[in-house]
Amino acid sequence: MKAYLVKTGVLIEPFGDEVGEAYMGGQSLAETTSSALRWADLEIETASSSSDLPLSGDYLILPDSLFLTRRCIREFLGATASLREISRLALLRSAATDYSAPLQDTAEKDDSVAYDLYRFRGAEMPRDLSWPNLKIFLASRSRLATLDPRPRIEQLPQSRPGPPWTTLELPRTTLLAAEVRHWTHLVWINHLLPWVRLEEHWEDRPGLKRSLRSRGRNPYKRAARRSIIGANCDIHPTAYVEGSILGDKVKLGPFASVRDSIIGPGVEIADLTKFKRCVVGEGCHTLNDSYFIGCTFYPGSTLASFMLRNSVLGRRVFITSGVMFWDEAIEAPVSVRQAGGEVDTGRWQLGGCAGHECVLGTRAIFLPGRAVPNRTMIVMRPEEGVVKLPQSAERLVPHVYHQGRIRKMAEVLPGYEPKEIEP
Amino acid sequence: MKMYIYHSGTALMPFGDDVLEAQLMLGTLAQAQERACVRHGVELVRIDKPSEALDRPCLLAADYVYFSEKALGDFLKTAAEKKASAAALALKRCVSVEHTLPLQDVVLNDWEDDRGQVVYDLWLVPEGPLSDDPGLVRAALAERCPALTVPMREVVHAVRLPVIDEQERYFKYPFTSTICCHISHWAHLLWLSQLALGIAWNDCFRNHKLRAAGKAIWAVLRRMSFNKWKILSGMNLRGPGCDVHPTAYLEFSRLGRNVKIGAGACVRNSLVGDDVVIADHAVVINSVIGNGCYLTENFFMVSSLCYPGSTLGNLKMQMAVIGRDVYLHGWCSLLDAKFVGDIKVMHHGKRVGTGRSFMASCVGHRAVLGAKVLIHPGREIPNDLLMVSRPEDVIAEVPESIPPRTPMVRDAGTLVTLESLNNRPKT
Repeated sequence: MKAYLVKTGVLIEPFGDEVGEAYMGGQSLAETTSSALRWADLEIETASSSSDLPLSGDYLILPDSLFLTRRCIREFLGATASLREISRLALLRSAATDYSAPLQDTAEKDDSVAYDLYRFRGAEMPRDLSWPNLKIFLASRSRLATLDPRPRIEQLPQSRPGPPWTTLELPRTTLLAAEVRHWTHLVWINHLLPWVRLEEHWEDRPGLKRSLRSRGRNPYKRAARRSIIGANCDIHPTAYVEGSILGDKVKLGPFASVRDSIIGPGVEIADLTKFKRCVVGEGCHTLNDSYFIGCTFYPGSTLASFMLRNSVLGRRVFITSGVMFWDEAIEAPVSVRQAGGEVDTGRWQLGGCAGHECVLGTRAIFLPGRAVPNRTMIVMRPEEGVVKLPQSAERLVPHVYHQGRIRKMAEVLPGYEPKEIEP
Repeated sequence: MKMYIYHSGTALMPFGDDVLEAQLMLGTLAQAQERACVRHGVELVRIDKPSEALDRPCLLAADYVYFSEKALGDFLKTAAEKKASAAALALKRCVSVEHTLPLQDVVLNDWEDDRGQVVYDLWLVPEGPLSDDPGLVRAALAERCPALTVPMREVVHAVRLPVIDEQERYFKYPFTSTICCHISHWAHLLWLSQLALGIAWNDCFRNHKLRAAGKAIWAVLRRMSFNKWKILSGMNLRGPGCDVHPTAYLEFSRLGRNVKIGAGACVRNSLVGDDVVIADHAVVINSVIGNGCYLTENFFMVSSLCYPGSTLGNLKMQMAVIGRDVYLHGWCSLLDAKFVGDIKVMHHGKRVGTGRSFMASCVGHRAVLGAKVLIHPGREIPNDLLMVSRPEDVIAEVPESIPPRTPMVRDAGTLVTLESLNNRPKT
């Protein structure tokens, strides 16, 4: 059977990339979709309008902005095998659909969410319809084939003022579908992909090997045993890897920790650096003692941060330790820019996004949900850095920072007693 | 025998709570008093005025008095041995007494010599009426009830403090369960929380001797070592439903029910309440964390007290008191050191020295501190304070088009080119 990928022309901002180039689990979205379709023995063709599709027959139609797991395609094909009409993929509403739902262009029914994966059968394809019109045509004539993702839920406590205390439900299932239209979707889908890819990997392995790696009662130790380590990795004995996929030639320094993450080939992780729920592109490297949670890094970046959460950094970005993409909204959920307007994501924890080849210097603090265009360079304000120091200093005489210099406090602020040294 | 605890109307600032609601170990002061009384078969009766204490002989105390189980037990035992019909609880001068002494309204006897003792407002009252007025009762009982010094033992561990002015300083950390204190300030809660580990473990060893001995033997056998750190890492008490990551390190700590401790976290010498989440790589040392708190990733907490329900995202915090349902963001720092002189705090409307160079501040209930700010030591942050960033500190608006590879700087909440900033007229 053939599957037709229809071009939608969706661009992911601030990168300006076509949606097929969006970075998902260490591959582009186009590669991810292709490998999932090929796994289900489907032949892939591309189309730009309905004229490129056969008039009739039995084939799949999906937009290039749709993310699907291989199990989703397989089960959809199974559920629609006996139907003689146009079928549309729907997933029962659960954490699996809700996790990446904000800003998606999906159709929500009573208890399910419909995605733009169609099985075309028993009808005649009209000609010259671009994707938006083709979508309307297919949606109006299709019947939903609803699948149940049945996710196992992991509760993520949310760091925000309370009460009430809230948690976010992280779904653990290999049956996922999502529309990719915004950089926030990269954040949310990449949170789920390390676990999904690991499950898919072990599904393909012989049962005995799988059982051996999955032995024991402690879930953390089991996850550590199920990690995949690529060829020629250099892992320090004090480093820790759990539930992760490491590409070839990855270097892990002392006390580094990688959990629930996908690390691309050739990544160098320096001492004491921690990754959790991250996807790190090929050839990235980190500086010492950095901490990343739920981030997606395109290839080739240099990463340093005291704490960076739920953010996306483009290709060859250099981010220094003092840069902060603040990710905890205090008074209202985080809103982001989409199609020229501000859209509420409904999420209380969301970082930011830096475009390709950005250089982000010290003391840049972004409020949640902000996106920086490609090739932006941010430097420190001139008056914030100390550029001149006294050649000598008297003992226990207080000095202060003043206009780029360190000077005696009595000269700059006569009569002021600093609170640290009041008698 | 009955113990009458009369209401003094003491309120703890900045919380505004009645002193009986003060957080002590993992409960309140009221619960601590009740537990001590139940342990020694004393019936606790709370009264509004001292004159309502009718039984004789009886124990009488003010509601701001904290007494540990051991202190009360030893007081009753010593009074019985000496056949004293009237007595006031006193402790001899020692490290643990001095640790909580600043800001307390207590009677000091012979303080400068070796026989120095502190007399607390807990009396064994003989025959005779009591006045309505707590002040008059204190004065009357000071004459009628002689001080009875309770025997005590303590182990002192010296912790080195930062060197300032070439003077080596040590924080003497006492480990004992014979503690008494008049609580009138948040600093007392902090100091008592620093002693809480000794109180909790000594009470545990005393009340569950067999279990404690079994645990110590098992800690040695399991690790096949007499290394003290290895044994201490086996001396933890976990409540049911705890989820501790295998790479987390626990040492000599007590965890409540359903506590979750993430990867690489370290909890040493601490008391952790029910339903607490300590996220990955967080460090908790010598602290007390109330029920339902959430300590976010990489958080570092030393010698602090946290009321229930708070979310703490501060990167480093030492010697602070955090109120109920507080939200503390990573960029709000509580400074905890003073280079010259001691840290002063507000007490009864005046700034009073604590005699300490290392102590942070107290954050009131439900405060939300989400701004980049440094708070000097010894400050009281009021309840319900919502503190947000100044617009010039953050980038709130990212311009839609930014010239590529051109140095940009933060300015008034957005990004401008460095060149335009340099070309501005200087004021």
